[in-house]
Amino acid sequence: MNTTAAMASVERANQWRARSRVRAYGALTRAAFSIAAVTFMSVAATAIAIAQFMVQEGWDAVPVWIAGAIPALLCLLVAGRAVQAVRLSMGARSSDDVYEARALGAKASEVSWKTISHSIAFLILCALAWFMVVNDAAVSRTFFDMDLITRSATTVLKAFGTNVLIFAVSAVLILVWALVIAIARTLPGEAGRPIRTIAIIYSDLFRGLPAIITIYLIGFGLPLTNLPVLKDLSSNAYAIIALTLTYGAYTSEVYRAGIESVHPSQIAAARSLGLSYFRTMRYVIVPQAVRGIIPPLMNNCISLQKDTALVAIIGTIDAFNQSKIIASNNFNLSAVMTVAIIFILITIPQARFVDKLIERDRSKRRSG
Amino acid sequence: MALVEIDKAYKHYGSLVVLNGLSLEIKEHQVVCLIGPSGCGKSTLLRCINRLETIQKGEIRLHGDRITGPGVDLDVLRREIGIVFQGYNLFPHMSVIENITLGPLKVLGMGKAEARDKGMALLSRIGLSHKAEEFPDRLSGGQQQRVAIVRALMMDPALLLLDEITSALDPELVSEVLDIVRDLAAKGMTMVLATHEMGFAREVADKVCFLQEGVVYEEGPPSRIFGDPQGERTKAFLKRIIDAGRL
Repeated sequence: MNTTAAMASVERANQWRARSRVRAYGALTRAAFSIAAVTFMSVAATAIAIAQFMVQEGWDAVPVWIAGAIPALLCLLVAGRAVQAVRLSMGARSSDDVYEARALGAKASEVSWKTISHSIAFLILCALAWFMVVNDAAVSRTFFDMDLITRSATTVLKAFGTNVLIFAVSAVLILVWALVIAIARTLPGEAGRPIRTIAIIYSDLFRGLPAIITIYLIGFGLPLTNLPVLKDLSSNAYAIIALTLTYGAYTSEVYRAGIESVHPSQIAAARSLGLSYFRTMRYVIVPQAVRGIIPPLMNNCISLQKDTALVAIIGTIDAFNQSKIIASNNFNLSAVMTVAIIFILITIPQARFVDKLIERDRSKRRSG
Repeated sequence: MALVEIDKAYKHYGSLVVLNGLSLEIKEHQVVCLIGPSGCGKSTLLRCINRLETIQKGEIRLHGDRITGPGVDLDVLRREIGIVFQGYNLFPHMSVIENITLGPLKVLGMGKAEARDKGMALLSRIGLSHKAEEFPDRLSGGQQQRVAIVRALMMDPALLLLDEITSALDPELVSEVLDIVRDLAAKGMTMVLATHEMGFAREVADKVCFLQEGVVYEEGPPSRIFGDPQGERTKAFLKRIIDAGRL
């Protein structure tokens, strides 16, 4: 190696060392500390204000103050971590050993980010707490009258059976109906065109039509038509028909995306074995399509459960309608909160389940 | 001092040991070829050098400075070490010129005109300046891989890692990519190649390392590794390659 080249490489190494200097994250740790301090003060002030208010309202003083002390103490812990971060950062700055300094700096940055995110979470909770108690706790009284919520729970839960029934029947119908539509939409060739067109028109119409209007038109319209059978159905049945028509259109699009995501070479391989078009769909394409679309199908399923509340508009006594009756009798919306809570409680586990499915799918793809 | 020193690197995924105390030195302006059976740790070693993967024991040094362990600024490290992947990994939503100027613009803080000039200069060196405005999926595999090499070169790395860059290419497109690597070697670029192209390794490498079960089983100049291998396993591996008509 000649001298200029050697000098260039020394230069390069020096440049690298200058750039990869130790980072102590001083500013970050100080910012984390300030945020943690502000959070502690806000949470403590909020806890004191709310506790005083509750005691005034006649709550037992001791448990109230203990409950108020818990978030404040947690925030103090967060602030303590922030102090630790500042000290780590100072250690990183003063350490003579580069590798030790780097390790300290990395730790300081990690701890700082943790404190910052904890602090932000506490601040958000703090804002919510204020929202609940301002204006003489108007929000709490309107939405969270615990007495009315517990009193209405049994009646509302019974009415929720109607929602479950509507959901269960229409979910099964939708899964079948949507697959039929999806296959109709993917029919190949010139011969398939008329059916394809009809299927496209159907799914365009019912995806464009708001679910609540479909339910309204079917629930009030069909009885007026005087058509045999159709005019005498129960309002539950009208709800099931309307939801199946609406969700069938959405779900068929999910199926179609699944079918089209299967690589065309799979069709080529299956047809090359002499399988007919429908057998290819039945044994090769649909099984592969379904595997990939379980998460979006579950999402539609959750959405359908929630939309069973829309049937209240045609007078079905479902949980929502029942709770509205209770709410207007008591001049308080807390009964409706009961339905809200029931819906949330049954959908959260499913939402987590979907997340898990998506995660499993993703990790499978990563390793594959 | 060597540019990169790998000192008893150890890495496992669960119970599968991928690097088992592997040591290796890469000197400046050296072209090092890693050969060996699939799963012997070639790609993992490359990904550990630029910290896409982390080793669990041992040490890797760049310019004599340890780059494993906590607190290493990875963004700075990766400015120093470029990598080209087997599957090109170009950004499909950007044109060729956008792909190759992204790093210089956003990381090096280069001006728009300067980055574009530099990009066009490098593209015309590999004969692709007329494709600057095209999107990657309009290019052949060989062209995409050449663009990917340019994207790495735009950052002026001290070291270029090439991870089986011709494995996904049709045979007739391999040579256009290897020509660029040959050209870079002649210009003194320090490179580490994981490769199955034995003929090319023999021609371009300063040092060939045969990896087996997570260690460098045998290393030496290509004339010795291919002409007179010492280890039993090296011999067996090369015999399989020759029997398959690949050397």
